[in-house]
Amino acid sequence: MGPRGTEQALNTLARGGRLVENGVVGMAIVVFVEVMLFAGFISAFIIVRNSAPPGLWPPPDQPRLPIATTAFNTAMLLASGVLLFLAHRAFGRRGHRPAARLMGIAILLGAFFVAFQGAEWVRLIGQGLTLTSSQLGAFFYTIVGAHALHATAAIAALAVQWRAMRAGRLSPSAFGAGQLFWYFVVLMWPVIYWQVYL
Amino acid sequence: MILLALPDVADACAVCGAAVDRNKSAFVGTTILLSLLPLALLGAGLWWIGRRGNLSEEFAEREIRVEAPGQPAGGGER
Repeated sequence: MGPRGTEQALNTLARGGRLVENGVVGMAIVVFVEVMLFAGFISAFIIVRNSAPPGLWPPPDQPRLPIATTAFNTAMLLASGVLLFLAHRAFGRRGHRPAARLMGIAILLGAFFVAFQGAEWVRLIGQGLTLTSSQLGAFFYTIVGAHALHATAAIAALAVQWRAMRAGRLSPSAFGAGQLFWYFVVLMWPVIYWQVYL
Repeated sequence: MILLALPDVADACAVCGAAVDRNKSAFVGTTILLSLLPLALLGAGLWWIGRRGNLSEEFAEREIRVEAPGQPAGGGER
């Protein structure tokens, strides 16, 4: 933030204005903590992966992670994030009904992502990749599971907000907080995919 | 004598004295990541708040112009 930005921010506050909604500030703190949590998980995974002798990672006796199908699923999640952003713009410009339609599709795509992940997990467990079968399995289910848990919580929160939006009683503060959390879920996933799957 | 022996014990830790060079560089890299990431997040947050400040100032100026079209911009009650 430059000196002009600081001055203008202070001017806004002096006029009694609010730069950022309270809900967004609270969620930003949560997201900060969650980003550090995943950074810790991924850092530990990188160190363990690099400590394996050459040619032994991923472990030869373990199934390979589904790269292609997960790439498709990643695209679905990214599309969900874009749609929620469009819903945000529609909410400000065209009212709550068009925004609710876009938000509904975004939620459905997010739910598809989680369901697809669940189906992948069932297949991988059937092939022998479990939480205790190897270090890969332990990290895979911890990192991807933690992300899926966040995605599920975010979808539930967005579904509640969607109902409020349809009824025309969704506050910008709540919507901003829900969006921020969903963008965190969406943007964290490509990093996990890059580090864990590829 | 005990103090002299301690660094060898510390080297037994997987990340302090790794036998594999790749592991050592991964440790250094992730240490840098975990050290700089919080600062980068705070910096991004401050930049975003500053940007919101700029935008809200622009909106306030527009409102002043709409309320008093005959007066010079920014000549309102500030």
